[in-house]
Amino acid sequence: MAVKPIYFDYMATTPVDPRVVEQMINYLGPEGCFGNAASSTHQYGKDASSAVEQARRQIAEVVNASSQEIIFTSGATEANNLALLGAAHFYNNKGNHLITVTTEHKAVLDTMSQLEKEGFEVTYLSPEADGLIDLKKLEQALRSDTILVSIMQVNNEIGVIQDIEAIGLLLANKGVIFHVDAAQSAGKISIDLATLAVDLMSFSAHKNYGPKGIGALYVRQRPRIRLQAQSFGGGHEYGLRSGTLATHQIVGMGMAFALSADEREIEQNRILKYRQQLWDGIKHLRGIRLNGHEQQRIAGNLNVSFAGLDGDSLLLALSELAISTMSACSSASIQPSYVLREIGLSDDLAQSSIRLSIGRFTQEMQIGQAIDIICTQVGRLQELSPL
Amino acid sequence: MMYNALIEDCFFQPKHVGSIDLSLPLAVHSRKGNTNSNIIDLYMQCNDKGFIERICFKSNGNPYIIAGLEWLCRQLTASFLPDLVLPDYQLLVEKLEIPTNQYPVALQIEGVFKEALVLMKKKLRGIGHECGNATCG
Repeated sequence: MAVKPIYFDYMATTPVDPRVVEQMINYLGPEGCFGNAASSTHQYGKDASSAVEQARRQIAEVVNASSQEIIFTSGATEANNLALLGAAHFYNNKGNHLITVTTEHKAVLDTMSQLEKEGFEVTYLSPEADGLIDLKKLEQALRSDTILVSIMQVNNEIGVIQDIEAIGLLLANKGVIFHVDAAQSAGKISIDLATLAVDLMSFSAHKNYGPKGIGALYVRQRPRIRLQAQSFGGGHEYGLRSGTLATHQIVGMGMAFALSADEREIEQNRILKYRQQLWDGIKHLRGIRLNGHEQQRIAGNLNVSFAGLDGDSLLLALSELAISTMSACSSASIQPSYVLREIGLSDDLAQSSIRLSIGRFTQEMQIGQAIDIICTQVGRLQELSPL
Repeated sequence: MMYNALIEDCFFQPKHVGSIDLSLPLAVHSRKGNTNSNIIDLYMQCNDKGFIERICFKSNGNPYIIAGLEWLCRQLTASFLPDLVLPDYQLLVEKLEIPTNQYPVALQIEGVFKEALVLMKKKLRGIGHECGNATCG
């Protein structure tokens, strides 16, 4: 069997932590706790329900919220949809203006686009060249009919961390709902929803060593944020998200979040050290550029461009590493990352960009190997180039 | 993107990367591509008997371009110009399994080789070589 490339794509997804896998298996087979959490008439259902509530508490504890404020969804995309559509539809009588940022994940941007089709007005703020937003621009964009602002905590491409504490303070007492997509930050950055002025927050399990197909939405209870349900059929999750709960995935998410809280500080310090080693090892390369703010970024993210090199050639040359270009393939061509274009990169430079993301199972030896591979292959492509 | 074994071999083990001193009597250069991407520089050097002595390229193009250039250079090295039939873009498409949306790349590669051969033919004609006749290139 061919040797697998070294995994440097932890921001796309993470492997499920073996401790989480071990736990999840207990909720699948005939000997396990396989009941339907809604079946309150027998022990199987009660056990499943108890496991779901335990996971809900685990997740709530990590972000310092109450367990009643956690709504399980199929992932962060659905959580974002429920937050934005649900709030916009519920508070439509109060206003029809929403604000977001052009570098948000498509789960937010496409949902905003849907709301525009329904008659809502959306202001899209452009970030600064370092990927961060200017709070003055946000303040200027606020209107009397603004009902919601949605800003991600950590950008999935360039890893920059927005100051959600400051944004929350800016929006506090203005009657504007603040939604934060925390898919890339939960488990990696300390989140305290008891002190942050955040009303809605989306979470993903699979970005945090949990299983795919499960996520959650935090919905503030005090003051109570109301949402219009987007799916129907059973009234699960306080009537906000109908559908049989996936016990094994929920248990997995709960355990993954609990583990990340236990290990976050040591783990993030180690990952930051690895990222700094990686950057130190390649930053001398000709034409290299770091995308996104150098300090205000998540520990595991390194997004770099190599001026003058073709993106596809770069990707093939670096095929010993599992990395991402964030380019989108259309039928006729490869479209460069919209996030990189938004922070001012040319199409050519955006296409010659790669994202390396480091995570829990990255080993120090792999950082050294990655440096060797990148230096050798980028040097080789530069020798090939006529420029 | 998935590439076939020929592309991987030509891309990772190119033996025809470089440039040729154009002050040499039988050396030519052809360039295709625009702006700063997908640029191809092709260099060719013949001896006075009409054999290709050296052929090499530089490119910042995608893997199809780099592999296509390398593969054609391999085919053409040591060829005798009067007998040379340049493989066309369709053969490149077939050998490298170039997808439909990348066909222009194959045409670009064919174009740069054709231009270099025409230039070389002119040079050879200039020294009275038989390659100046209609059968060549």
